[in-house]
Amino acid sequence: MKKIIPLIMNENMKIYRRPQAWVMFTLLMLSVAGTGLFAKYAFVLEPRSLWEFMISNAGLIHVVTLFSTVIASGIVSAEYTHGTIKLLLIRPVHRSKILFAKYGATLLYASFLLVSLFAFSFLFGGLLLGFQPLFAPFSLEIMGEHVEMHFGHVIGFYLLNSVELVMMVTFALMISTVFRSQSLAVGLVILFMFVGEQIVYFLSQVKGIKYLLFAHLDLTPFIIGRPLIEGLTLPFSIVVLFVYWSLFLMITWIVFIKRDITV
Amino acid sequence: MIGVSGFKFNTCFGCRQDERRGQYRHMETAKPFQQTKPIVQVDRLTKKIGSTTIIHDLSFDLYPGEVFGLLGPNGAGKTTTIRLMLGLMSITKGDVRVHGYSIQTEFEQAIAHVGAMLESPEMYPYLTGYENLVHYARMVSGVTTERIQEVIEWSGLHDRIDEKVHTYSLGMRQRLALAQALLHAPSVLILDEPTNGLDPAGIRDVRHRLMRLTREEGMAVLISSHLLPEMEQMCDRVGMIQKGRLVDIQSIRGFAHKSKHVRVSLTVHPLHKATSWVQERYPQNIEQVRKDGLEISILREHIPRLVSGLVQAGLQIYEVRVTSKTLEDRFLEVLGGHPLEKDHPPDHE
Repeated sequence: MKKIIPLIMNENMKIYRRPQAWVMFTLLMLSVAGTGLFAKYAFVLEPRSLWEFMISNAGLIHVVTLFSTVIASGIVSAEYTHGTIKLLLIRPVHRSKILFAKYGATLLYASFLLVSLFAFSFLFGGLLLGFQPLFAPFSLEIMGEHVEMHFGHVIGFYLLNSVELVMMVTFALMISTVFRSQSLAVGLVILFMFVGEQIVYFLSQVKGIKYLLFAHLDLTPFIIGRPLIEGLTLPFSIVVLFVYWSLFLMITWIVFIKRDITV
Repeated sequence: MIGVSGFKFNTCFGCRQDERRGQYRHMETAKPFQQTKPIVQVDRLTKKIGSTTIIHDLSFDLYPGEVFGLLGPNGAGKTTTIRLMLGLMSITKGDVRVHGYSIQTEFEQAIAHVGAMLESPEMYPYLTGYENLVHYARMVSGVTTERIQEVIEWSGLHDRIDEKVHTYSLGMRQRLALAQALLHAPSVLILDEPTNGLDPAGIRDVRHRLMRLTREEGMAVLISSHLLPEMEQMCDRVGMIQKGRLVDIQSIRGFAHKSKHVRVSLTVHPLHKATSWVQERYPQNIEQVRKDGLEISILREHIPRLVSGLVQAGLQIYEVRVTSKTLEDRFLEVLGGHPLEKDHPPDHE
C-alpha cells in the first residue's frame, strides 16, 4: 500500500505536466464566468440569487464529465501510443497497483475540476449577484412550484450530478484500456451523454429499461421533480449503478492485468 | 561509477584492445561463466498465440559479467523472447527465473533485479529528462536523489536533463533510456536492439558503456540484434534464434582464441611467387587464391614467421589481415542460408 502514493504522484505528474489539463481547466472557468455574466446582464428582469446561480451551474458538471473523460481515456491509452507502457510495466509493482493509481489520479483530476467549479461559481456568483448568508433558506421555482431549499441542497446537486461523472470516467477508462483508443472512449461518452437520457425517455414503457445504466445517471429527480421511469426508487438506482461500476472496473482490471504488451 | 555490489573483475575495459592482456583476460573470464551460478535462467520457454507457437522451448542461462547476444533475422522471435523474460507477455510453458525468482509467480521480486531498454527508447516526451528519471525512481524503493544524480552524470546528460525529452536527439534519448534502466542498480540488463538507428559514434558509445557495466560491475547483459558485426564486437556469447527456436549458442571470445587456426588474408606481389612460396612451406593451408593475394589458414603464432619469410623472399606485402570469417560461416550454417543483414555502418575504433 505504501507504494500507491508515489504511483499516484507519477500519474499526477503525467496529467498536470501536459497543457491539455490546464486548457480544460481554463475553459471550465471561462464557462463559469460566461454563465455568471449572462445571469447578471441578460436576465435583468429575473433577479437571480447566488444559490440559484450555483444550482444552474451544476449543469456544467457535464463539461467536467467530458474533460475528465478525456483524461481518463488518455491515461492508459497514451502509455500505449507513446510506447511507454513497456517501461512502466517492468517495475517491481504489480499491474493492479498501476491501474489503481491511474484510476485514482483521474478521479483526483475530476474532483479538482468539480471543486474548482463549485468554488469559482460561489466566488464569481457572489461577486456578481451578491453573497448570501450560508445557512439562510431560500426558495427556488421549479416547474411552477416553489421549493424551499438551503445550502445543503446546493451541495447535494453537485454530488448527485457527479454520479454521471464517476460512471462516465470509469466507462472511458474501460473502453480506452480494452481498445487502447482514446478517441473511441471520448466519442462513446459524448454519444451516451447526448442520447442516453433520450433512449430511456423514449423507451420508458419497455420493461427492462430500468436496468439500463442511463436510467440512473441523473439522480436529481429524487430531490426535485419526478424520476424518468415510474416506480424507480433511490436504493434500486444505487444498486444498478454499483453493479455497472463494478463491472466496468472488473473488465478494465482483467484486461489490464492479462494483456500481452506488444506495442 | 555505478555502485553495484560485489562481482568485480581485475580488468578494465581498455584491455580489450590489448591483445596480450586480452588473451589473458579471456582465459580468466571464461571460467567464472561456468563456475558462478547463473543470474537468469530461461527454462524451456514457450509462447503460443492461438494455435501458433511463436517461441519453441527456449533455454539459456545468463551469467554475471557476460554480455549475451540474441541474434537472428527480423521476426525470429528476439523481441518476443525479451518480452516474455520481462513479464510483458504471458508465458505459455516453461519459466524465466531471476536470482531464482520466477517472473510469473514472483514478478515483483524477479523484476526488481532487472533493468531494461526496449527497442526505440520511448520516454515521456512532455516530461523533462529529470522528471522521467524521477518517475521511474518512484516505482522502486531505495533510489535516492544522489543516485539519480549519479546516473545522470554517468549518462552525460546533465546539461540537458531539465529540458523536455521531445527536444532530445535519438542518441540522447537512448542514453536517458539506459540511465532509466540502471537507476535501481540492477544485476541484469536487458536491451532490445540497443543500437537501432544510432550513428557509428553512438553505437560505439553504447558498446563502451556496456563493457564497463559488465567488466566492472559484474552485471549480466542480454542484448538482441539482427546485426552480426555488432554482436561480434559486444558479446561474449551469442545465441542464434530462428523461427522462435534457439538453434545454437556460440562463445565468441572463446571462438576467436580457442581455435588454433586463423584465416589470414594476404595482399602480396608478385602473386605467383608468393603462392609457390607458401605452397612449399604450408602446403595444407591455402584456402583461396584471389586476384591480388591469398587466403591462408594458419596457426596464430605462425603469422610473424610467415610474414618475415615472405619479406625475406623478396615479396612485396601490401596487407596482412586476420579475417575471422569462420564465425560468420558458422552463423550462415545454422541459420540455414538466411543471411543476416550486413548493412552495419562502418565502425572504426
